[in-house]
Amino acid sequence: MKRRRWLSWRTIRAILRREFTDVLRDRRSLVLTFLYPISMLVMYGYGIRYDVDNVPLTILDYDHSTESRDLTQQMVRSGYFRLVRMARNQKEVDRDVLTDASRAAVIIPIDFAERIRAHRAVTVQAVVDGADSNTATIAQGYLLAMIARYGADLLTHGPTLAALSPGLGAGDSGLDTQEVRVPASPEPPAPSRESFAPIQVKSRIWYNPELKSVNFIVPGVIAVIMMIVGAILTALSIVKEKERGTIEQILVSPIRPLEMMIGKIVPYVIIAFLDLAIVVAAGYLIFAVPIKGSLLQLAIFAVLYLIASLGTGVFVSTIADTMRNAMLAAIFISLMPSILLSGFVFPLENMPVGIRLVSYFFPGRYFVTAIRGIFLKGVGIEVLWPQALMLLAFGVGIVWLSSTRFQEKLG
Amino acid sequence: MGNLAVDVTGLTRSFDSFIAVDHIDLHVASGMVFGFLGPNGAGKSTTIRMLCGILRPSAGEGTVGGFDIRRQSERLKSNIGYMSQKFSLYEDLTVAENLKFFAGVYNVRGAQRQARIDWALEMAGLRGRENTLTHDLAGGWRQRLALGCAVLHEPPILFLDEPTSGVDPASRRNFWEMIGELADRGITVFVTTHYMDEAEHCDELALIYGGRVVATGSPAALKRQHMDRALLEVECGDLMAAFALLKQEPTLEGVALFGDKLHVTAADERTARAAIVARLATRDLAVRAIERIEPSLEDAFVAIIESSQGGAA
Repeated sequence: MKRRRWLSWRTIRAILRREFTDVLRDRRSLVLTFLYPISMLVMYGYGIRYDVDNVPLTILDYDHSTESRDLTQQMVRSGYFRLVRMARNQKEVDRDVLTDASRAAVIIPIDFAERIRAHRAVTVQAVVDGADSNTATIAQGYLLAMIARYGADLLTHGPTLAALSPGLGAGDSGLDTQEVRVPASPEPPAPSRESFAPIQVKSRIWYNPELKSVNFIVPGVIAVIMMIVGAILTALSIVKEKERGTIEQILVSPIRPLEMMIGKIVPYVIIAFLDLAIVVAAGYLIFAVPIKGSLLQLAIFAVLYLIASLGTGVFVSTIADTMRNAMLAAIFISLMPSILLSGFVFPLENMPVGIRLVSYFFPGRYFVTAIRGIFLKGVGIEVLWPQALMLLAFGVGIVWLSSTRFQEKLG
Repeated sequence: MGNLAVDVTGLTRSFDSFIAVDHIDLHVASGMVFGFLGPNGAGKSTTIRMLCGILRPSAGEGTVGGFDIRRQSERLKSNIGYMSQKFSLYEDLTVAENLKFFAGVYNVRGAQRQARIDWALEMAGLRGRENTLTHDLAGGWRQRLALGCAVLHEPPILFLDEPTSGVDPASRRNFWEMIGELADRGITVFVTTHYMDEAEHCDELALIYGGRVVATGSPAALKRQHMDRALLEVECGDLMAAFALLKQEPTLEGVALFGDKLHVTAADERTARAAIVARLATRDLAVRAIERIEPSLEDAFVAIIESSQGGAA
């Protein structure tokens, strides 16, 4: 009797062939594997947008002067706002905001032009609907910036100068009221002009200059898809054998746990990389997401992350006996963290300390940070080595844990 | 060959505080059909799992096919075939794909591979249905395919764990013919069952009850052991009442329900007859007939189990 080698290629090939037949024959899993990443990209790519444009805006202009029309024009032409109406009175403003016809309103006082011409401070009131806090914050920022710019333009070009001194006031019923003061200027000798705007803040946004949220989201989608394929599909494919009882026949056969694991994992490695290619290509071709870094670096991080997610998948398969439980467990310990605790949807910096601490224990945050860096900043391992190390540590840890448990169950 | 296909002593397995298998000795000669009988929960499957090298024994040791069940489970597994009560082939693979899969797993290769697959198809009567999804096969066919997969690598020992549960009688008979053919080829067949008619097909039997082997021997020997007792078949009114009543009769050794009759075991036929009639008369239960019969295996086992329970109490 010949002693068997450590691994039998024949055995692995038999498992692989069976696994592929299974994946290709099961229409649902096929759809899940290849259509899902595309639909997810489209959904998140078009659906989730943190950008705010075309915010419906109502303007109440009590002044009807050249200056007030100027300001109105600038706001409308910016593209960030869509003029719903020029209101005739405060009532119309209130109604627009309450009925959601508008998300924001600007009220220009009757003495707007007069005070500007007289170099006296003038206050413009901005009302923002705070019900959707994200949009509100951004719209408020745009309004402030635009009114400030108008003031700044007056300072440089106009007869009068203006600077900003915003004062915040909380409005009723979810409305934020912002009063932007365009302050008075003294007679315009040059030095004093500078004293009103001694420093001009010019912000320049690096790495994602258009602030397109799709640029931010595509890397996140990659993280989620690879987690789905690596953890959920792998776990399901192993637990399916338990649920159907086919594991019995495997147990009594001379298949070794390692051979079984390789046979189970390889198909999903291939699928994960196909999905990665699909998402990267679609992101590049359809959404024009820039890829500044190298694809090789991207692939290296994908491998590290995939090891982590496959390990998680095998781990899930060792704690669940039914596909239903495996699904739930996998969603809870792999999918949800990769969406919620990775910085994909919610910025980690804004999270309470406790939750932020938890996020360090999941691979999502390292991967998302890394591939965003590769995609948008063009950096590589020289900057992202801490992320690579953490992914590697997580991967080694989870693979060790899950293979130990897997051997116990199968050995 | 003369050597033992299965040779274990003191085999024990406990789960927490529950002892599923309690110091079992089994010695099965090569080439025989060995029946392992017992009610559900008696420890049949646990024993088989230990013999197949899947489950570590808590105590005891031995060999299967010459391989140590503790230390050589890997090589042991290559030398046995196994088929369980639960159908455990891949339902979403076709007949041929399942066979090819197990050929790969058991390293059956070259010319041997196709020959064995053809043989299995022939034996299971599945020729012409190679491309049918296993899922679409009827119960009996699936069972035969599972058997075909289990012996694809020509193992010297075959373990069958309740192979015919949930299969119709015709398929069961057919299945046992296949087992007979395999035995004729020199394969040792270790089969668990709780069908007594199937036990009659075995060369040798072991009865397990409460984790212990309570009797071993050929079917004939087991029945013979029982022959020195008289077995009476009682037909009477109100079976349950009569059953309860006769259980209280100290001169009777055993009372069991058999369909619409009672089977009574006793040391002496004459006194037993009198006792039965007297007992039943106390409740005005009519006795239609009392007849001495040849014991069946089932009677033998009922008696063995009852005496082992009596011994334990």
